[in-house]
Amino acid sequence: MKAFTLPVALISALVLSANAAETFKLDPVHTFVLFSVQHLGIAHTYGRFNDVSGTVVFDKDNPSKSSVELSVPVESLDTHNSIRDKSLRSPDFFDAKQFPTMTFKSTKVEGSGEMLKVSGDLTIHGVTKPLSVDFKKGGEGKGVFGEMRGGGETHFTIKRSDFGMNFEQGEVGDEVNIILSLEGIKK
Amino acid sequence: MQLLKQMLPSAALGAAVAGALLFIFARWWKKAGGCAGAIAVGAGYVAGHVLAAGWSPLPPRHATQWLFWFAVIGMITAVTDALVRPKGMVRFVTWAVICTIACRLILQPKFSYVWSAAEGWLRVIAIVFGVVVLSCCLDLIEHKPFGTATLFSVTTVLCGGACLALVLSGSLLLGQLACILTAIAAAGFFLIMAVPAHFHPSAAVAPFSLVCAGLLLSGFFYAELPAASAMLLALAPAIALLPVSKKSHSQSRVLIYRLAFVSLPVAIAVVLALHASPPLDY
Repeated sequence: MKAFTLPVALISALVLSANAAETFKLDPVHTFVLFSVQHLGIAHTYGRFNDVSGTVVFDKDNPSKSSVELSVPVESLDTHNSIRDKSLRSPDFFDAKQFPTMTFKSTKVEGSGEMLKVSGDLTIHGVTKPLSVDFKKGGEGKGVFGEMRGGGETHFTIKRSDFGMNFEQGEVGDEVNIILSLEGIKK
Repeated sequence: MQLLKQMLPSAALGAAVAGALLFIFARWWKKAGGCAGAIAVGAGYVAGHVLAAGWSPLPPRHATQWLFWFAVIGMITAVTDALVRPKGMVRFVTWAVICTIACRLILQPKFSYVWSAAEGWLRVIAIVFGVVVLSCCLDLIEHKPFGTATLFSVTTVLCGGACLALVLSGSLLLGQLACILTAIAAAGFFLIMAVPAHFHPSAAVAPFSLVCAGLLLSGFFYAELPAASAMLLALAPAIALLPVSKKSHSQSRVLIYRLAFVSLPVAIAVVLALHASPPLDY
């Protein structure tokens, strides 16, 4: 009997640990990438990216095993003004045709409970920079089709000049405030 | 007004550097007059580009940064051409190879994301044909019987039109870079007209055509410059070659006719870009 105990315990531990990490595919309908930037030092202009895709692997018991991968097509930029959108997508700023996607890939997740510190590599305009954000975990629940959902939100600021976007410094602020609100469907 | 305020400093710097170099060549270094135009245009553009868009690393990270190096490559090519004086066919083939390399480099993102190698090279060959036609037309304009005044006046109209079309296509930066070329061409034209006995800036075609082609390609492939506008602007100098009867007109009147010829396709290109641009929502 003893001969069976150890393998069974090991297999159980493996199965349990495998179950502890849950994979969520981002729901683009309920995931938001919003940004604001100062205009002429007067007020903030707001915009969003309408298309986001990615995966979040979340391990409740061991958050350090969690990971995040996001991809945002730059063409989906929307500031509610077609002329401004055209300018932002042009070589003046995002250069969407040369650098069609922005990505984030986590390298480290720390913390526990509701607040997690997620570090990783953010690539915008062909430039990759390390980024560390405080991610506030949201709730979990079932969607209308019975699917399991989870999510959370983070607010952070980056400098566009760090990513080689230097045009119209002064008229358009250097600091860009970003709100990233994620909702994923458990696979 | 804000737009002018933004564009003027880099354009003024480009024109000042080009003008100063032309003056130096005319006054103290007449022996190097054979490549004065190339050095003035190339250095003027480089100075204006650095003020407008910053220094460009080598290798550049994106297409706009290649424009800086196109000015340098154009300048070096023209100076070498003036010093070596190769035979016609060697000169033509060398220029076609340089244009092919330049087009391939500026279109690298398209090869990375959109085109297959075969499709990309087919497009590059077609584009190189257009760039070579543009530079051959400018080269013909620069040489007799048209002269450098005609070259600088034609490029002023051409680059001015490109500037407007690029701004309307959504890229203020590309428009600003075209504005630098416009200011350089206008400064050269002004100096030639004001003191014709001293200023004969030749060999300006290489940097002009390489940077201008780079701007049009960037506008079409990376901003939203309509294809028809880009083609009209590229082929506009060919119209300046139309024959004008010199017997019945003075030299300045011939120049005005040629400018009117070039202005027509350039104006159509700008109108097409305006038509394609979204309406002002505010």
